Amino acid sequence: MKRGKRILKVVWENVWVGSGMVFLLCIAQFFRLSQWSLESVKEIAGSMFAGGLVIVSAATLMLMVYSRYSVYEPLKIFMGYTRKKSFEDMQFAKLLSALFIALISAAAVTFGRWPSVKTEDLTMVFWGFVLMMLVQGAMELLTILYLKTRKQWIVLAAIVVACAGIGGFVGYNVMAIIDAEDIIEIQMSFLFLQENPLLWLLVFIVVYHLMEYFSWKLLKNLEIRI
Amino acid sequence: MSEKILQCRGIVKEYRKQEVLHNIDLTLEQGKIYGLIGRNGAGKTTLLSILSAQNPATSGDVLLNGEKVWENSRALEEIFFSREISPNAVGDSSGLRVKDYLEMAEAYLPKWDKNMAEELVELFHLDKKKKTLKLSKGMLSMLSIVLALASKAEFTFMDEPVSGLDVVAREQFYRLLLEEFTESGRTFVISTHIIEEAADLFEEVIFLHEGRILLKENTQELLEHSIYVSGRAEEVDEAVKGKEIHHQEILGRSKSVMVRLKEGETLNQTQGITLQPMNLQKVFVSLCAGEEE
Amino acid sequence: MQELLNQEKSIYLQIKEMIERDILRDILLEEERVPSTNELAKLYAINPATAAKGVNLLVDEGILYKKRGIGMFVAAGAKEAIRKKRREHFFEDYVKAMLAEAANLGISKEELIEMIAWNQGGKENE
Repeated sequence: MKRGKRILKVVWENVWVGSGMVFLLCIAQFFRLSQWSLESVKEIAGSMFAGGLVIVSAATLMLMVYSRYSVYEPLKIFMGYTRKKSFEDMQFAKLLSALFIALISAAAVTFGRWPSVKTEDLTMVFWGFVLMMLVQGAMELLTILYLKTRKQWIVLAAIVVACAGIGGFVGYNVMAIIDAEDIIEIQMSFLFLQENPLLWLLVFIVVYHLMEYFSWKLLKNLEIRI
Repeated sequence: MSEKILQCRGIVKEYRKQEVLHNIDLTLEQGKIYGLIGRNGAGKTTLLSILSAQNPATSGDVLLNGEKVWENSRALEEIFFSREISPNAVGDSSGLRVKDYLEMAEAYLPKWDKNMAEELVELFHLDKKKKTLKLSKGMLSMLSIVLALASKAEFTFMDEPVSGLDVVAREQFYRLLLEEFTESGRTFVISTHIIEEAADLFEEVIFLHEGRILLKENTQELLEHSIYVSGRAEEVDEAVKGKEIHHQEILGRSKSVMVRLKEGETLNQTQGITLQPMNLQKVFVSLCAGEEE
Repeated sequence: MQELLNQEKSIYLQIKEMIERDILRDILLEEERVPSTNELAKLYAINPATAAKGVNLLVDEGILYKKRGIGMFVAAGAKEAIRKKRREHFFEDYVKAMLAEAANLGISKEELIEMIAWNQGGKENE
């Protein structure tokens, strides 16, 4: 399998795990609501699916990054792969995963709000993409730090947070379905983002690149033990 | 066929301000089986991991045919260090199964011989579906051996490959190693504690003691030039005067000592002393004891 | 062949001597093929370079010769050559040590000759 195919395989796994989970939840919600109309489907797709996908994926992507860097990338390096190529592979995987998920979310939003799609909705998807990149970057840095220092708590903490994130969303939705509450509108109303979007974007870009810088700095001279 | 040489120059390795390897210079030639012999903590694993770019040296270089090995794909294709697989390592690698290792090997080791791997897995009765954390020490050793042999890497390193194997499995391994060596002429560096068993396999031996290379020599020549002299102290002293000696032991009026002769040197003529050949293990122990004196 | 290796002597010398012994015992006949160094290495679980060293000594002495692409063969007249060589070394290899030990124990030359003639023990048997 060539390098590109291998990366896409990782991306594919990243994408369908999150999507699958959220999709099932939405199906459940749909049946629970029993409003067999296109409107209902659109409603669910537009907010619950689109928003939920991003939140859940943020968490699952974090777990994926941890798993890649703690198990597979060291094994690749052990077998003669360079750290540089491994890092590059991961950059592609992170970017493409976040991108595809964002695109699916955007598609869902578009479908959900059709024909009156607002820019705000798509902007939310964009911030979702940013969120996914940031959490992946953070997990990358933490995991590489863990490989270097072998201090368990670092990653344990991050995993707990990731699981809390997924668990919280899933749990809340399941509870909602059981309690017959209304559709969860994932507003992601981070108003502060609205106020100064460009500034925030700049901040996020800087933060992301700092994380990448340190991740690589640690990785390039890392001792690998499998 | 051009001769490939794997070389390291001035390798120093520090862990938390402690020097573990001191200025190591080593040249490994293609087509030999080397024995890397040293006590626990001598630095064998560290040295092998540095030679295979798994571990960065604090200073010094590792070169393959003059090219630096570190992060060099082309060079790394020729080197493989099949270290002990520990299920307690970082992350969840304990969850990996035998077949996962084999699949990764197929994907990332460029010269991987799948057929050989399958044969060996069967020979060793390794259950491909089993997770590494469920494998016994012996089975883990066998997995490392499969990876090492089937990698077909020009320079293959093994770290204590027979630890955990019973005596019959060990003999099996030595024969497999020899068979692969005679067929392919690959270079093997095997680090081991169980010196005597493997001594006959090594064309050259490298003694590593407390992070320094004590010697690197052709095994047969080393043994031919190492003599165990014993007898009355005065006579022994006379016989070994001017020669390199190690590890003197005195008991009453008798004395014994290991002598290392140089090419063409012989012992001084004396009566009444016993000369005995030494095996590799004895030579190693004597030299180590000598270092510590 | 098929003997065990011991620690008394260099491995390659033992290989050499084993082949010589087999030639003397007609286990290996002249103009017959001798196992290759790789076969010897595998048989005795030793490094092929070591086996080769022993074999090469025999080639140097003219006991074996190489046929390109086929292998090693016992030279014509090898048996006689080995016998001759061993006779020449007999004194060095066996007699000298015996004389030294006899001197250590105070056994006289006459006693030694008697022992050889009668092919049995010493004074105890009188």
